[in-house]
Amino acid sequence: MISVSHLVRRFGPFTAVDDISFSLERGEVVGFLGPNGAGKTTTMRMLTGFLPASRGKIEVAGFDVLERSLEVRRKLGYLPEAVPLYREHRVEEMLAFQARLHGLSRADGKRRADEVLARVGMGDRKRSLIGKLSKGQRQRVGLAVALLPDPEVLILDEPTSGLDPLQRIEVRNLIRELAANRTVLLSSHILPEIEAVCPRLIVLHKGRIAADGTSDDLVRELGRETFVAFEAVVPDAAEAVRLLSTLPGVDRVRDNGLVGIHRSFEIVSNDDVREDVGALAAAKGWAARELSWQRPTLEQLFARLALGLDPADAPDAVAAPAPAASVAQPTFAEHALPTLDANLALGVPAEPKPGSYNLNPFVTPPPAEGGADDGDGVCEDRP
Amino acid sequence: MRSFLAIYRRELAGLFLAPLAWILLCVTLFYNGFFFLAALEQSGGNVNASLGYLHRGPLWYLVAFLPPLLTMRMISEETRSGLLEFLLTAPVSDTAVMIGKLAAATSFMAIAWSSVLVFGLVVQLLGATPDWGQLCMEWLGAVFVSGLFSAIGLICSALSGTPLLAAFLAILSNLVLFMVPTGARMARGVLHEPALWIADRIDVRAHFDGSFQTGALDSSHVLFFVVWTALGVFLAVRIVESRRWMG
Amino acid sequence: MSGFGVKSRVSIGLRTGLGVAIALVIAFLAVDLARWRYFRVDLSLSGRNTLDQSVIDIIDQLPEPVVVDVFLRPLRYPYDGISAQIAGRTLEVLRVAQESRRNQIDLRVHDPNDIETQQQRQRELGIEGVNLVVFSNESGTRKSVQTLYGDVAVVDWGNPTRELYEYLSQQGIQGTVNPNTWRPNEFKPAQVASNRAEEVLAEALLKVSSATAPRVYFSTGQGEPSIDGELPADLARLRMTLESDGFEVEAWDPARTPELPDDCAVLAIIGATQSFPDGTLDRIREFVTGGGRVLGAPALTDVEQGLEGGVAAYLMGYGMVAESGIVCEPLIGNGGERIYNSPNCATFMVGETGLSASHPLTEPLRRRSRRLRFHLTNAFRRGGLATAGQLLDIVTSTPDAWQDLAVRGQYDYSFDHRTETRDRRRLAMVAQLASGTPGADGEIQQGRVIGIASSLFPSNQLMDVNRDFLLNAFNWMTAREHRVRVSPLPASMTTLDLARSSALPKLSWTLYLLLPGLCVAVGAVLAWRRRN
Repeated sequence: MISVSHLVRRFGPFTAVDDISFSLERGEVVGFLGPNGAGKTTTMRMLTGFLPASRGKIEVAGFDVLERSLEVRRKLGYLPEAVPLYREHRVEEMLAFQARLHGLSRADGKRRADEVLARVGMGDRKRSLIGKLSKGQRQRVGLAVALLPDPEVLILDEPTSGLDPLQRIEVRNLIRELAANRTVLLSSHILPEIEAVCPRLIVLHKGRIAADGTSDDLVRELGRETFVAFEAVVPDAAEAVRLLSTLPGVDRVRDNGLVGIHRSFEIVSNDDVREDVGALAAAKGWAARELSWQRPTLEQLFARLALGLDPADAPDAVAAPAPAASVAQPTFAEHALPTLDANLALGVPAEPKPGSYNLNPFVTPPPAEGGADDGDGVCEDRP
Repeated sequence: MRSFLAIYRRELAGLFLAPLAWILLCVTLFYNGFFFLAALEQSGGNVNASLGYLHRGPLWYLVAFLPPLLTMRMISEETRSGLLEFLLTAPVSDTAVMIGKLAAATSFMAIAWSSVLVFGLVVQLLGATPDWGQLCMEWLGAVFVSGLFSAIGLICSALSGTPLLAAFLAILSNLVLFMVPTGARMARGVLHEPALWIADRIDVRAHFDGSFQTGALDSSHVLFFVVWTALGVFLAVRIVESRRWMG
Repeated sequence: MSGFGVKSRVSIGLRTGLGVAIALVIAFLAVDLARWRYFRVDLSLSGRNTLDQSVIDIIDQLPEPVVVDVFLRPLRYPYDGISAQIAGRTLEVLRVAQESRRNQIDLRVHDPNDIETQQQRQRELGIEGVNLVVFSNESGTRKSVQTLYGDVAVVDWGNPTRELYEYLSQQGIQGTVNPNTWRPNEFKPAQVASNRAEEVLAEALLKVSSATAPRVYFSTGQGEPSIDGELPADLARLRMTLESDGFEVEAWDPARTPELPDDCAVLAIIGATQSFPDGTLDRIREFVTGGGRVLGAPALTDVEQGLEGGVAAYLMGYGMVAESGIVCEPLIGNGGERIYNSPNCATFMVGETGLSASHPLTEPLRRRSRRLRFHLTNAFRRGGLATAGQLLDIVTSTPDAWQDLAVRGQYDYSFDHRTETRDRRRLAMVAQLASGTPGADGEIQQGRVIGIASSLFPSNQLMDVNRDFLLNAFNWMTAREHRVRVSPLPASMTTLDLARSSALPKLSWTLYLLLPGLCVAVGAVLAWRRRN
């Protein structure tokens, strides 16, 4: 449905999108992932024909975006990041306007409006003034507007920003439903939610595609180190490290020091060695508090990517000590809710410890003023 | 055409849903009424002269200030709020969007200025029949003038980032447009002839006074307004487009 | 990377700029094109945009475009009202004319505040003054100057105070008071008697578009006043007036070239104090018999001394016998009493009653309440016309006038009933001959002679007052019948009687409260209904 080849977009001397190519099949749901300024919005605007590309070719539903712009626009539902709604209108009026723009008859427009409103769970707010709706409600109305002409391709720029956790679940479920017979491209800089919805991810970084595939693919491709986290009361730390190191399949063991009366270890291994560790602990009578297999999450990979760190080279950054956890928020995702909430709400397995994918603040360079980010900020960071 | 109508209806509704519109209408009515009564008393009750007077002075102040207020938000604010992005990615041509906006602003002005028709009706009811042919032409002329000035407002709105700046720019441009013919006559030396040549072709008042004011329908004067308004729309579209190119 | 950015920006900028430039050029062309081929309908019920068909015909037949320069300066209070009214209607007529045939008339209204440009244009045109409408052809060789107050609009000036009278005179507006009835300390407002803008337009267009400028020859060499002289008795102002009305003025000295020039349209013999060379008068008579036109005005000495072979002797042949004695009229004192025995009795005005209503030369003056002024003039007695033709009195004095005879070379300006009689005195006469020569268009051009009883009548000192008469005289003699009858527009005055009806309070309530209130109400209702 969407085919992009060698797309380049420059703003003056700054290259926002640098030679990217990808294609989406019918019924595919693809997440666009990347920090602010990675070129997500720019790419989406080029897909809709709002921005012309500097170079490259885009086809949507078989039509060239620039040459057959009107046909493309008819097939396309687009929800920009700043949800475009006329505040002085009622919800139903906004939908009627969209219906007229798409040439629907009055009856069709009404019917579709009821359908899409019910779908986004706003069926009872038809007569509400848009200006009086909450941000989440407006987001959903915006989605309804984009859905109204029943587009074959849906492009959603940050569809969940500004929503509370429950609303996120709703929107996520909605997108899942929509994906049944549509091609959906959505962007986000919040990884867990995108991971939950999109089978396929395209990670953009500095205008280039850093990765493209399912989340498992990405983990496999980008991540190398897995370990078992083990916390227990051990009488002799050095002895414990030695014993653990002797377990089959274990590469090395890191001692992360005391947490309260418990001592924390990371047992680096390619396989799941929890059973062996558990058996060892039981044999030695160590009172274990935690025993878990830690795979690097997509988010960790994403974060390292964003920061320009190779995951393999800086394992310490990943498995940084916990204390900073409650202080340092994930700075690359400044709009996100505290990650714990997000995970809970989205039903993401709360497998990794909260602190484990919070970046060490001492390692994190300030992203806002970064050279790559400022030019793109023009179109990414709209109020 | 269908999409133009959709945009037009939306913009017009948008104008009339804002309280500003009704305040402006009320002020316009009061303003026109004041000058009409003053002219009526001064001319000893000459209905046609008084209605004509409204098109000599008051109209020009109104068209210099009102269209900028109507059009100031139409592009500048929609660019900021993302609504323009929505409109320009809808299956509608850019030109239809712009013409829809222009038509909405012009229609508002037409409604505001139809106060002269209402006055005509009132004096008719009071027993003095105005020259309806002339009055309608004057009104039509005022609508054409408003269209031109709304187009200027749209250009300024497309050029500037905030409505306030847009209104300021537009009012300034309108005043400059009024002053060009006078300025051209004042120009000295080598500038004199070309200035006059240009002034002659952009002199809005002369084209209004030349036919509409006296109740004549003249194709050249109608075309004068149509051509410049069309150019205004063309420029506004180009500006919006170039902002996309420029990023 | 950055190179591409700059380049592409420049190229896009250039392309956009080029597009805008092309659009601009197209717009200018379209505006011009629209002006070149256009249609125009008058939709006003009053028909104010429609010129009289006769005027349209004249405009259509113009051989070349006519430039109309309007020099306006509004009059001050209390004449601001009529000044605006006259200027407004005049400009409207001129605009309508311009708009109806855009390629034929080039209207230039000069900004009264831009004195420099005004004066420059006036120098080009060779005129001076304000409140003028000047018609000229593009090369500037022919022109017709029309005064706004006088030619275009006929104004009844009421009774200005002395101060206002002086102000109006400064503005170049003459004849605002009738010396006989003027009360310098009272004020009566002025009003517009009629606006002839459309007729003036037609007449002026005709004059300016005439193919050739008629030539007027003034005889010289017999002690005539100079046509270049600025002395009170000289004729420089007459010459300038004629030139500004599209005549060419030349001098003819019969002593040097006995034959009249072939291109002579009118011969003016004014104020000769010596006899013409032998045979000259015969040649002039032949000229008239062959369809020529002569204006003669004898000098006082010519008549009093009974010069042989002078202007008086010439006019006698056409039945205009100049009699000795200066025409006097009694002055009217403040109490209405008649005053005699004053030299001022020899200066008097001729008003409506003294102008013939049936002659095309004086009829327009009569209609416009023009007056003429005479000073030290003789008068004519009707004699016999030597050839077949018609002899008409066109200007006469009041019946109170008498011809004061010199007693021992001195006038006493008092009526002596023994030697003098009171009577209407003939001050100007016209002889229209039956004979003539066929003109170019086959019509027979008949000889015409105008006799004016005083050579001072066209002189510089009386020119202000007598200008219109003289212009009419020369125009009539050259058969430039430019008087066009235009039926006046029905005044588009629909008046609401504010004083006597309840209209004003009703209107104020409606306009100030009802309509704006309605707006506020609708707005409020709408806001209420859409509060959530």
